[in-house]
Amino acid sequence: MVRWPRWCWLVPLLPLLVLALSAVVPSRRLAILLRPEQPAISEPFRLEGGPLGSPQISLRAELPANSALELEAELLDSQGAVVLALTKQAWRERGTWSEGGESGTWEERDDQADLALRPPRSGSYRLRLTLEELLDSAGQPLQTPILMQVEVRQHSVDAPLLWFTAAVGLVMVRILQTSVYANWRQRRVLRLEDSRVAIRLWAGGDGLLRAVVRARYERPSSDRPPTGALPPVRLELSVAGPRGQRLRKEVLKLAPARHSSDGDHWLTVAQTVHLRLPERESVRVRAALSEQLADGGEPWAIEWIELVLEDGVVTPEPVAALPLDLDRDRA
Amino acid sequence: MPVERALILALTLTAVGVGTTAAITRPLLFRLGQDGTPTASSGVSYGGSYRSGRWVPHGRPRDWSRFQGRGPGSAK
Repeated sequence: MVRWPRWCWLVPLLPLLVLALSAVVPSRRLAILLRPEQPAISEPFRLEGGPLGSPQISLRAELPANSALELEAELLDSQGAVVLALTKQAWRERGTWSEGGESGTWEERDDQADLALRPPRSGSYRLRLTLEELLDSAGQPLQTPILMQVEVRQHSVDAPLLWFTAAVGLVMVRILQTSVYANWRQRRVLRLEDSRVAIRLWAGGDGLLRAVVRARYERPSSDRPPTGALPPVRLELSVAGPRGQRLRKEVLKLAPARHSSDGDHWLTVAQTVHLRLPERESVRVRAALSEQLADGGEPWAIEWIELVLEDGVVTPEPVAALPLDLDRDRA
Repeated sequence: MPVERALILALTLTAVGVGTTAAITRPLLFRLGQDGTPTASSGVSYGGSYRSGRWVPHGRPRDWSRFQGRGPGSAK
């Protein structure tokens, strides 16, 4: 059993945790009322510099429906000098649609500008906003004052990079877990139209020997579904050493699972057993199942049995592994 | 622990660590004073650019109402 790879899925959560924390970091919000061609200056706000300073200024215009504006925004430093100037063309449209007797309204907008930058040093800054043009859908000037919402974040994170990092981390953790839990030194599979199957192989050492027994039962000549309670299936699993001496014998009672499709009915059983061999040795694993199951109707007959042996497996959880005492025979 | 698993674990921790650190510190974020302008979002155009550490404004057309554009409606 190896537990630590199971907890590796926590690693990709780190970028998502950063993303969540960045969302709850408080931001400074300002509201500025703009009238056409009348510049307005915001209250001073602080922008942090340095390696962790990654401010983001978001401007959003509360536009009336079916209008467009051109906004000039200037970032002023503490001395009033323009350190950045930009123009944003924003619009908002709303209409109705009707199709096939149904109707509704639609609305589209582009009314926000995000400005991410790093100042050379921390300090106080202001915004000078000018509403250069405000037009209705016919291109006629509007005199409506526009409310600008300004949000200043001091530490904006690169959200797409965090999502990408989490996705890459998750894929790599899955690869790591697969390399530990879905791996084996050797794997042998044998399926026979019989009720008994056996495989001899060299196994043992680090990890466990996993034996998986599967089987399928059908009624030989009828498609009658199971009637009432089904009896358990008897599984006899035995392990023999290099010279055929018995090292272990287990008898298990398995509950069959019922299946049906398109009028066909069948039963299956599956059982996994873990064995521990302290050192590599030639062992023979044999599985034998009940040949028939009687439930009152025509007996169910075994169609096939399959034995899968995987040597050197590691499990994320503790399993009850059956020890094989090789020394008993040597003594 | 086998070497390949240790390598995958080291690569995983490195990828997550580097990606998260870069997303927080944002080393490629535009710094006021460096040549050029920040990345422009939709509908944004800058009224100048930094050259040799100084913001240099440039002129722009003032009368957008007569701007023809290049959309289908302006096809001649």
